[in-house]
Amino acid sequence: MKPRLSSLKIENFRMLENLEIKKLGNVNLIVGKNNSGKSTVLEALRVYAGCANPNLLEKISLSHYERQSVKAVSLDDKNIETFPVHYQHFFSGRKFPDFDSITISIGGIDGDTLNIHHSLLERYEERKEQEDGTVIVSTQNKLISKENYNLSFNLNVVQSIAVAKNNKLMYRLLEGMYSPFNQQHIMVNLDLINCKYVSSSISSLLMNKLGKMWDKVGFSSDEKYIYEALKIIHPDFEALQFVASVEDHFSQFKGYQPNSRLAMVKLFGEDKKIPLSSMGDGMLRILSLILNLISAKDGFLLIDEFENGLHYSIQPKVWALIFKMAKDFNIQVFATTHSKDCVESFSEEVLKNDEVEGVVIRMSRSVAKNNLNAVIAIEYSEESMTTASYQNMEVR
Amino acid sequence: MAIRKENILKDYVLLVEGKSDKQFFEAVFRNKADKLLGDKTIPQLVLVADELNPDSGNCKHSLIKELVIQIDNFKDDKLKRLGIIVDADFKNNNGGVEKTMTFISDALFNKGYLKKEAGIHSDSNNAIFKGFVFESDVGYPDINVWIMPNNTDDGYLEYFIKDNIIENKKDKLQTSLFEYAIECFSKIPEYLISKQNIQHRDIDKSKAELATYLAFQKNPSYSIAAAVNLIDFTQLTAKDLMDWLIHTFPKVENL
Repeated sequence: MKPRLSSLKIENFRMLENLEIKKLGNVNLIVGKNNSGKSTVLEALRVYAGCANPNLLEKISLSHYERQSVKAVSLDDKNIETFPVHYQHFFSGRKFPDFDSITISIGGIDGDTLNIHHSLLERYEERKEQEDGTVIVSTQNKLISKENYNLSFNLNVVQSIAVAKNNKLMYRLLEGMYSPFNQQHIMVNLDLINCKYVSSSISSLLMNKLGKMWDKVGFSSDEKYIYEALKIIHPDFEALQFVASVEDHFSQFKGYQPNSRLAMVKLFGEDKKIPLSSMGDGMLRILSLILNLISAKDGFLLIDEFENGLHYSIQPKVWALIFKMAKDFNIQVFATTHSKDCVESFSEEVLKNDEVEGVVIRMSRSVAKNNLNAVIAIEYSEESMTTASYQNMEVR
Repeated sequence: MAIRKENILKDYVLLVEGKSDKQFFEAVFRNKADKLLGDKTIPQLVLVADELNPDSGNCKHSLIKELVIQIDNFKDDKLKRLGIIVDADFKNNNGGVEKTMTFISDALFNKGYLKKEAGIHSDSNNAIFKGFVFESDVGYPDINVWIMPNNTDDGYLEYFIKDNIIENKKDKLQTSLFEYAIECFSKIPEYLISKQNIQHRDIDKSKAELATYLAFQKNPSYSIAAAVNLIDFTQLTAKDLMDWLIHTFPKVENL
């Protein structure tokens, strides 16, 4: 089973100035200390899969509170309210590069690359005289070199963000014309990859989203995966239903967003239905993982901090199910972890499973003199997992 | 009274081939702690042998797999020192010093390491030591290699022990005991050998001679680790090995 991406190269994206992962599997587990770049790899994959579409970039910016900082990074007297200045946070060093040659690049080592360029355009008037003698004046833009240009000298110069996949322009945002919820500027159909992201937090606020996913799965043949998964945590699990939630007493508070959907569970031998949220974080986490897996068909599933809510004793079964579903749904999975138990249970599954390839990727900082302090990735494939050195590996 | 646990330095790794090598070198670090890393401090000894397929070729293949993982640990300083002790083995068993060295050199070359030419090296304190040293092209620490028994001849760890006991003229009693053990083993009648189904492989013979010698000690032992206290590490190739260990795994405060 060939993974969609067999390698990964990320350049100039946040802290990942030049990261190469030479080998990816169908299921990939990324380990490393805090601030080692694990979650940034997931984010880069989201951007890659979503072709850096403005709504996605906006959503990510908002989740990092970077959107709010627009005014704080004021750029001369330009119209910064409408230009996505906050996109500079996506570039290494949190600033737009000084050279045209430096772009964000995400993709396989051998190609299939998404590029995000920041460049300067000069606006000029083009006059065309018609046969009848009338003159049509239109405003045109031409790219100018950043290296030789000082932004403050010419008000006819505007900044732009261009996104290209395999050197084919997907869209260009121009300073002053951008509104995050207006997609008119998208010029071609984006080459999107289905991508689902499961964040590290376990919150019953997700319930509405899960309810929508369940609506597509309930009564379908895929329902069996949900049942198999929930039985891992609670062997007495019998049935799942999403119901309309009744208003609770918190609804009187301003800004409170009640869940309109609620997952209810029936256990064998019990007459009453029980709210799934009351059965511990594990049930909600695993429901979220499996619904997202089913929804990620033919694409990517990204899981931040896999082990959250999952006791180490059940992790081997969860990995076995994820590997099976990665094959059945043709999904490439990327998960992060801090947990040694998680790495062990993942490695066990890799060694047992002949059909789905699993790779462990350790993120760290280089001490090599030619690459000092850069974020690097060290890969461990199935063959290396049988070595004593791998088994002694410190993941934290 | 609280017993202090042994401190295993995870960023100091010594790769060894077999279980007996591991036992022997653990004993060296424990019994010669004053010269080496200090009281109750040893490097992490990683066993590379495939216990189910203890063939020379399999061991060397496992060694290369382990080496690749370990060298990756240099990239982010998870590993600070790496030493490798392997048996030369014999040419007729798919081994020999030259073949072993070629095998290791090729694997290390693929990871950006080149062998230093001279067989005698000096470290930053001008301490001289023998053995093979491989140097990284991107500034990772050197990797030191010792090929048993003495970096020159074919053989195993058992040869190293035998040579250092028999050739050490200072302790005539131990020399005589080892020679007597060899003689005893050579006199075992042929019918017993065939009844016991004893293989006449060289490695088995050298292990049997060493075990016989260890049986003649005041406190007889089956473990190869018992030989550590019978070797004089200030003489002959045992001194060279001690110098190699001191250089490969300097005390943490000297690193």
